[in-house]
Amino acid sequence: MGALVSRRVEDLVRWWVRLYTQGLASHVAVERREEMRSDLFEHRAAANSAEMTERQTARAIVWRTVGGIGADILWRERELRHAHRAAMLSLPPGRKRSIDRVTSTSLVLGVLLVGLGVLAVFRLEMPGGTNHMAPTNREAILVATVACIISLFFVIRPSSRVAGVLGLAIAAVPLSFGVMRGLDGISARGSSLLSRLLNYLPGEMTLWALYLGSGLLVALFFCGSAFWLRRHSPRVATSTFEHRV
Amino acid sequence: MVRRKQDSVLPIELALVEAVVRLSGREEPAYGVSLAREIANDDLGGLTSHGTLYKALARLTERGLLESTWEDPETAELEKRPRRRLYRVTAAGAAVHSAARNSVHSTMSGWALS
Repeated sequence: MGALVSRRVEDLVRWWVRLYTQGLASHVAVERREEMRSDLFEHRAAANSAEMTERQTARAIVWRTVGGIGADILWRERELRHAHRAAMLSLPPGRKRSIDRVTSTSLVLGVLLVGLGVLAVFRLEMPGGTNHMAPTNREAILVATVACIISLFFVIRPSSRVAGVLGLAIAAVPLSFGVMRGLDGISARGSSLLSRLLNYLPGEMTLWALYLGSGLLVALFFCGSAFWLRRHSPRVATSTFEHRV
Repeated sequence: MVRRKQDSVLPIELALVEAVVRLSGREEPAYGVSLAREIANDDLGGLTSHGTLYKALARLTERGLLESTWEDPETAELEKRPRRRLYRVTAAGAAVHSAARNSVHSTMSGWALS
């Protein structure tokens, strides 16, 4: 029974190692997996010599793994950064500059979206703020703002940049839509500008086109950026989860 | 997030360099578990966690304070175990180690004088 628990624990540790090393440069992943394989073997051998029970050994291995999860994740992030930096160095300077520009523009636009969302949420929650806005609209703005913040975090990490920019594209539509619909309560100046614009372009259709169009335009930019980054970003030969040592 | 200086050496890293020096002095191989045991004074229940240990070893190797080589697969096969990654202290590592020891000695002499 104890031996079975011990084996299960070792399988779990191997699974964790495969999980946090997947997507890393192949040689880095293979070396860490081999080193951990040796560690588990040597730990067990030492425990057997010290006449520790299977349960005690299993408990010690679990503690060693759980205690190091944070360090494993930090190590993985550092390795990903190193691999990205090395891959970027191999690119021609013009392409590297273009990648930096597209990334920076996406970041700036993402930060502006977050700012807009935060401002809208504050204005709508303030006493004397709009009273006629549907609660679902407020929630949509809040959720879209949180989604933008999470996406920005992904944009900062080179390995998840494309996913982050796509996340911004998805969040931009409800955020812009919500802000446009609640403009009365968010900004008096913005609202009067919109009213003036609608004097020139009257009609319900125009209003809806403005509501949706603003968000779709921003989303289209982010989708284009994500597609461009996916096509032009350097690729690193990485290991997969299944690769066993 | 506070970033630490590139050239700073953490206590766990110093302990690892010290452990490699001690194991080499006894002509014993220095690899993951043997280093963890050396730091924990052979207490198998209190070994350094996997993540902390290998992250620190990776950083020391990257900074050139330690160097590592993979054991000959034939040796490992003969002993029917996975091959070990063996660590050695470099000249830079030895310098950091002796600087740390000197600083400890001077601090202790300071306490003794005061």
